[in-house]
Amino acid sequence: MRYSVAMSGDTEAVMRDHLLREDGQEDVLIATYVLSTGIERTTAVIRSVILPRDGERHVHGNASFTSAYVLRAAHEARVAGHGLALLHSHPGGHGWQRLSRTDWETESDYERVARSATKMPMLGMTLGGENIAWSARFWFDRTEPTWAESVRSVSPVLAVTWNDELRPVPKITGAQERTVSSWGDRSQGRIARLRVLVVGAGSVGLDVAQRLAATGLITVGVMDYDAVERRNLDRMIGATRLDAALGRAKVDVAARLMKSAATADVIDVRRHEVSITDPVGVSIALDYDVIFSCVDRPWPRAVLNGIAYADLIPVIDGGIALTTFPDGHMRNGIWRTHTLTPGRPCMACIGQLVAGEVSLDKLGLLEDPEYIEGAGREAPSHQNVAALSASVSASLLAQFVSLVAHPGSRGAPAPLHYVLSTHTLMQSDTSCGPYCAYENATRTGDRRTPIAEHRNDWREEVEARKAKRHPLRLRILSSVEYLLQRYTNRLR
Amino acid sequence: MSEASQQFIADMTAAGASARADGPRILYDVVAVGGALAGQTITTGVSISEVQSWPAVPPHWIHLPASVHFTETNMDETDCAPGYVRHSRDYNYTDTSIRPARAWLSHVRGFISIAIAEAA
Repeated sequence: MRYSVAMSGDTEAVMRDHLLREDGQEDVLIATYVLSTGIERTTAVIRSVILPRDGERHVHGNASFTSAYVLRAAHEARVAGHGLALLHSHPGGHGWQRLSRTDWETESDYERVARSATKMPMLGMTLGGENIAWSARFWFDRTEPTWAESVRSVSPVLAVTWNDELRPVPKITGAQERTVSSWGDRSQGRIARLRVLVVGAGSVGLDVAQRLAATGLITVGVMDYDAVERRNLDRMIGATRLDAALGRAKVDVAARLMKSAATADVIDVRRHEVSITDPVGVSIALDYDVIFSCVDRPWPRAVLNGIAYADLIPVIDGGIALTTFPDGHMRNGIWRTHTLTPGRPCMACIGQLVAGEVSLDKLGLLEDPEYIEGAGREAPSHQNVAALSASVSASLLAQFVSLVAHPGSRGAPAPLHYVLSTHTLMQSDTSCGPYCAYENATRTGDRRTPIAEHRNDWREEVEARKAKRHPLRLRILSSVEYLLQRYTNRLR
Repeated sequence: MSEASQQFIADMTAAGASARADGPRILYDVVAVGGALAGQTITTGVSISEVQSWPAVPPHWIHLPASVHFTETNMDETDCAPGYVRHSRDYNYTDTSIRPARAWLSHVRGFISIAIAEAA
């Protein structure tokens, strides 16, 4: 299991403002956290900050907690059902901070208090003030801490401090020369280590996944339970007639293309042939640092909308809608992209997710012809053009670059939409309403609203595909293609 | 009962429609403000299975006495009390400046107000 810590940008600002004093001395602070549990990663999501009252800590060069402060905070954490986090600062510290003997003993001493009160491991955190670098460790017992791999601060600006020992900086390769010259080797080192998940491997997702691989990311996941069909070939650039003839899983096609496009010496392509609307899909998603939402149905988008706020994993979503005149000519096209983080509105509040449609999608009624006729609804349209899909993926990737490289220090933009007929790019100034169920569930972690549900339909589809036997000529072609690909990818 | 189901009951009750669990459904009373049923108190409800993601995801089907009729509707009897049917009704709630339970109540009231008189 890997461990990490996540906090919203607002929470981080409160903690930073307290811990970095004008007089340059160290300070201490206590916070609470909830867990966000993935398959391979457990994240402590900082939930609330408990500022010290007068006399509850000593500032004397090396700051220290009083027992009264720790006991009060432990009680508050227990009542709320949260875990306890003890924080301190190293004002002159640069990068991931290790523990001094004194700090080790302090945290070790309070571990029992925290665990007996909250029944959860104690979290220790240090802020290095020189370059605003956070570090963290989990105390499962008082003997030795388990170090986290990363600490992320999530707002329209995503800032991740990496533990270089657990997630080393990847080597810059010759193929990355132009990329590194665009944003520098430090940014490349930070960005390349992000674990990014692309949900939906259709026209847009396939393009996004390949470009992430080409950017030099060393771990990219792709999630889709669907297969390539002949009708997909006008949009899935890189998918072949053989993929369609074999009905290959979209994640397999994406993996092949990502390995071809990768510029890192070694890329870990994770294939997830599952649905994000199932709890297993959600657990997998919680292992990632950033998620691209390249799905077009309301239910999966609602699930991802929830994860963005509850688990502090930025979700970059987008889509395209084309309309035609009755005679079949193109009338208009609108594509939209938006990054979902605390500080930016959720999909429901910008009108990109109609809550009532989620229920219909869950019930399987959105595309049910009998239901559509009875309800007097219009059948959903699925028009798309490969030439325009690239506009969506380009806009999604621009949001990603703004989020992680922050050109101009401004981070991800407000929601954008482009109107093809008038050639107008617009930025929305919408914010979430006071009763937004998604924003109000920010930092809830495993207590998130359960929108995903266990279903068998997609599992049966995947199993049937795996059990299918194909003609001999297709299997021979597939083997030849596999070998060619394998040897090509070894070229340096 | 799940946390979300309890939340739905609490939210509806706070919005003025006292709600209670009844087998696989939650029932509450609504006064029709227009149409053939204007002024009448109607007991309506939702399937508990449909409020498992409340308030992020609202229910879809509206349970009503079988004696209430509409010109155009999809309906079935899943989870319904005896003498009841449930109607499918698109719900396009997007305004998060309104409490979700109040928005749902407005939707249900709006639906009931277009009920038509029972054929003789």
